[in-house]
Amino acid sequence: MHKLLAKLIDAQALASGVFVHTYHAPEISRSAEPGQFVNIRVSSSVAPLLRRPFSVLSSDGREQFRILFEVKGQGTEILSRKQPGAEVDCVGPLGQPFQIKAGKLNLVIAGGMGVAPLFFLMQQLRTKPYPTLLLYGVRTKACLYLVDELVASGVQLQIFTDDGSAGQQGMVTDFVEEYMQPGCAIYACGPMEMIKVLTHKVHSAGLECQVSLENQLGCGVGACLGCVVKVHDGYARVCCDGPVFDSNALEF
Amino acid sequence: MPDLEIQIGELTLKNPVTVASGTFGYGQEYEAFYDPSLLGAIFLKSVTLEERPGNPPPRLVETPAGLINSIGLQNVGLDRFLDEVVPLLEGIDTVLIANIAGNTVDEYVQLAEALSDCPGLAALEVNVSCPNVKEGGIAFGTSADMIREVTQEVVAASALPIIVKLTPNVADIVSMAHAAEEAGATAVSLVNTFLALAIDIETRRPILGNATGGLSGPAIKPIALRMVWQVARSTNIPIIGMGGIMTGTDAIEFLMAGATAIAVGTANFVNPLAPVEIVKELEMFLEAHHHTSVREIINVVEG
Ligand SMILES: Cc1cc2nc3c(=O)[nH]c(=O)nc-3n(C[C@H](O)[C@H](O)[C@H](O)COP(=O)(O)OP(=O)(O)OC[C@H]3O[C@@H](n4cnc5c(N)ncnc54)[C@H](O)[C@@H]3O)c2cc1C
Ligand SMILES: Cc1cc2nc3c(=O)[nH]c(=O)nc-3n(C[C@H](O)[C@H](O)[C@H](O)COP(=O)(O)O)c2cc1C
Ligand code: FES
Repeated sequence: MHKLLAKLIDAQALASGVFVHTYHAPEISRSAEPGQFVNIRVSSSVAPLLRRPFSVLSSDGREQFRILFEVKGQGTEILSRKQPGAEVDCVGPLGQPFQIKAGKLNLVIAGGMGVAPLFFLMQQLRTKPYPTLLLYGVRTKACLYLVDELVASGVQLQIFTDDGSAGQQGMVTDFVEEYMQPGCAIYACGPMEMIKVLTHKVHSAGLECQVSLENQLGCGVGACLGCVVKVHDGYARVCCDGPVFDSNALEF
Repeated sequence: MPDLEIQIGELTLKNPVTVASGTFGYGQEYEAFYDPSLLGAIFLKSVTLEERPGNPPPRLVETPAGLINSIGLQNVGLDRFLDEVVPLLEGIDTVLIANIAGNTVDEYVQLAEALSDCPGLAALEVNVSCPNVKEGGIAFGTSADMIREVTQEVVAASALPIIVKLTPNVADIVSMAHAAEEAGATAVSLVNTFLALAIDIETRRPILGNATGGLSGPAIKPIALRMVWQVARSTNIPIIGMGGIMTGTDAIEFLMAGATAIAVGTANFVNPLAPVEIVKELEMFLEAHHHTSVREIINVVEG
């Protein structure tokens, strides 16, 4: 874990209010693993006060890493206005990564911005012998990001939109059973409602999955006990026991 | 190099910059950023007699320049604290202060007794912000009589210096500090968090799982500073000042207002290096103003 000034070297708007930032930060890029995040202080003032966490979208393993983010409020708005050349106060990489499991099929399930940590995961799954299928659910076609990069990287892709503007109409969780098979390894990230329904379906099929969760963070390093979620034997911290959890540890 | 050493009763701190209970865990989490031995002292997270699961989430809400928390004293309890936490502290070369919390005077006494002979602990901080279940659940820290009673009993039960951590949720902080002083406390810490609320306008419910929580961070700094100043003017008890300290300037304000040492809390979350940066800024200020010791700027505010 490092605290450093990461240099913003590229900022792309993918859509209105959605950005990909590329940072130069060798210490973070070399050690980041899929599922881990960076915690960014977007302003040196106290508005907003706390850091903002973002999953590592990808890393070249040497010098650069990327994040994908959506403007939600003040913090992400300030971040979105930063221009290449800006030095950004960054702590990371933080949290527990996905554990890559050997399965006949890697079933990767993304809801909305949940695609960010999974993108990095799929980069690494590419080097494994078994195929990867991404089920990517979003509200509408305009909210699909990085599809070209995904396709170019060789993952099989099945898209779901709430309004039917692309792929299959409906929610990922409505169709997920069709894609699950014995011995598949399942990885997911998305809104809490999706994770709940998904976990239930996965468990009903006698399978398990790894899910990446979000929560309001305080310290980001395990000290404050503010970011907890309920697990079977008490509470676990999203920032350092997670954000990636085994679905069977969680209590919804 | 100006001398940063300060004295709080029989405790000697290498510098006046400490970290506040509950914001620094047991000192392990920040080792990736710097050696915690550089701190003047570490106030450990509150320990209770029995293990506490803590409050249901959500436990945090960010507010303008502030943070509301309702952690609910989640901790492993006294027995596991002694077995599992105390060994982790070995090797941290600074003053380590345990923070105890209870719901009855007897619980405070039992904690104080058990921690008194604990190797490595230099003092006990008594968190009196907890509800007194024998007095209808009002916080110990909101009544001078209850502060007096709990302080007296803990002082009698322990050979260690006792620091009483006052809650700011009172009409008259000075009378609370007086009570702790009269009852034999070595120092007072002020302040703990301010009782606060945030509402989710969509669900029309409090955001926190526990409804209310405690506000910390820069938002409370001017009020905390005023309380330190008031207590310093009307008591002789040493003060550990805290509440929203982010920078060396903030820390110097608290020292000038009458704090002998300061604690960094929420700022650790924003800037994990805040405490060590504050030590440097303090040193630079003293040099720039030709002071040979930090003691020359403690309690110097006139008027
Ligand atoms: C481990 C982790 C990884 C993450 N990875 C990513 C990522 O890769 N990409 C990404 O885009 N995001 C990610 N997030 C989420 C991201 O951190 C947040 O979206 C971001 O912190 C929001 O900051 P903000 O200041 O822009 O919004 P904030 O100002 O914090 O507000 C967030 C939302 O809360 C609402 N809100 C605030 N107060 C109230 C109230 N009283 N009642 C009702 N609603 C209210 C606001 O309207 C707003 O929509 C991640 C989070 C975690 C924990
Ligand atoms: C997340 C969090 C947890 C805290 N836990 C404790 C605790 O266990 N015991 C205690 O006495 N004070 C606790 N406090 C209060 C702090 O020690 C400190 O008094 C307060 O936060 C004011 O300082 P600050 O504004 O610099 O954070 C906690 C504060 C925060 C933010
Ligand atoms: S954010 Fe502090 S423990 Fe997770």
